[in-house]
Amino acid sequence: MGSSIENWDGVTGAIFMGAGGGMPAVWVWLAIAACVVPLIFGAIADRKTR
Amino acid sequence: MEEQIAALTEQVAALQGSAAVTNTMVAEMFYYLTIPLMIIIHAGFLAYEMGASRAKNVLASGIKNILAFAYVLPAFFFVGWWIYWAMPTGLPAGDASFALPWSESMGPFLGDNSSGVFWGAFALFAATTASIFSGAVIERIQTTGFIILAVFLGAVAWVVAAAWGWHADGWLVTNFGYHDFGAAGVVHTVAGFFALGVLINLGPRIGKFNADGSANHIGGHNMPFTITGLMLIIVGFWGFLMACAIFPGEGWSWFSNNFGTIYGTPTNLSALAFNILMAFSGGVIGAWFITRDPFWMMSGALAGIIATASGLDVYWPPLAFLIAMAGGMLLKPAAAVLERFRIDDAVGAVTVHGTIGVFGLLMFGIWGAGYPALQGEGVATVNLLGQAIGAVVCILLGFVPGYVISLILKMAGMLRIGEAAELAGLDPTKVPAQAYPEGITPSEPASS
Repeated sequence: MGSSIENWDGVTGAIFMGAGGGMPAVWVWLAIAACVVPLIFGAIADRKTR
Repeated sequence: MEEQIAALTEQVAALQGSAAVTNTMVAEMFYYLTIPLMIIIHAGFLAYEMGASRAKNVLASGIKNILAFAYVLPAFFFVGWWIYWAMPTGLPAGDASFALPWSESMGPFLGDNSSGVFWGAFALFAATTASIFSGAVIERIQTTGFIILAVFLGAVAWVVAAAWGWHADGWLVTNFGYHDFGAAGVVHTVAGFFALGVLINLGPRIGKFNADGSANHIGGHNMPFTITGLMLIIVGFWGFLMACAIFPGEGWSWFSNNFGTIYGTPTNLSALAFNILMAFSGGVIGAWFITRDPFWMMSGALAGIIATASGLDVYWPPLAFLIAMAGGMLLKPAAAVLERFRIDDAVGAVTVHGTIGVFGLLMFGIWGAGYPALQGEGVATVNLLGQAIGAVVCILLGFVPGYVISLILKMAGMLRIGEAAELAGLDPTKVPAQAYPEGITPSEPASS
């Protein structure tokens, strides 16, 4: 992904890596999945110890 | 007409003067407030370490933690502040006479609204670094030996790392593009590996390891206290990370209308808010996923922040979440590796701070590659090799003095308490106070 900036002089707006491209959306979905997967495993663990 | 223009000009000048005063006062207050927030980190470490101790050692652990704080602050006044300003390019030291302890700038000075609050914020960074180390060595270290080690770590070791890697003129930055916004390397990696160096000489607690090398869990007497302490550390780290930003609009500021990093690159508190919260969450969830243990979950919160600290100014928040989650997931396996080498780190300091500090530096070398490390044309850019070099430097700046000084203390009989005192407990043998004079017994509910 890497830097969206080549030179800091006069920079405004989004400065996070990948800004302006498609990768940030991919990371959003991966992060959502990363929240859901532990919940699924947690639910399975809860069933085993009910 | 000319009189009206002159009057308006005078009014505008007065308003500009008033705005400048307001900016100065707000800037001074900004850094002043980071100081009590960072003291909350120490309240947190106090609770954390006392809870992680067995009841027979609880007050001794507290004393050690409080003394680290008390000794590192004056040591940083006498020595540390000068090292930071004099040594960004290594030796020979540059001119930093304003930071010498007898300088006029090092006391109440009207018209100087920055020296004291900057010094104060840095002094709390120093004390935090020493506190990171203090938990690893609970229940068997001698107080005086511990203070000597804490003072060196807090007033020298991390400060050299900061001069080299957390300063716009630092050679790691100018030559290798090293970027470490939230001090994952210069504070956490240095402190974690300093602790490792000491632990090798200090040895494990009695009963920690069996003859076959297997490890026994030595539980603390109050895990709720420990977990609450970890949450307080998280609160305090907001002050730490806030103090990593450079306020705008002053003579010493990087920008007139924007916060800057210590390196002079632009950022703002909004960027930090996004990434710190996402990192906290990712670290907790990652650790919960692997361990289901509340101690590791809260350690995961801290690990998440450390894993992303280097790039809190520029990370895309969902990516920060994922990196933090990976940090939280790494904790327990990393701690297990340490135990296989018979290293007894009572609170996971080497793992959370040392290992995850390195992880965080390298992560930024991958995901943040290409960011200019400084303002201007033709400057070094962030890269994986530069971050790795910085990590190695921080590891050595922590490990070598930790190992050498603790070895000298060990040879002088000043490192570890005697076996009898360790078995009886540090509180009954060394502390003139009793933590639980009535014991810890359950109370009966009121009868209906």
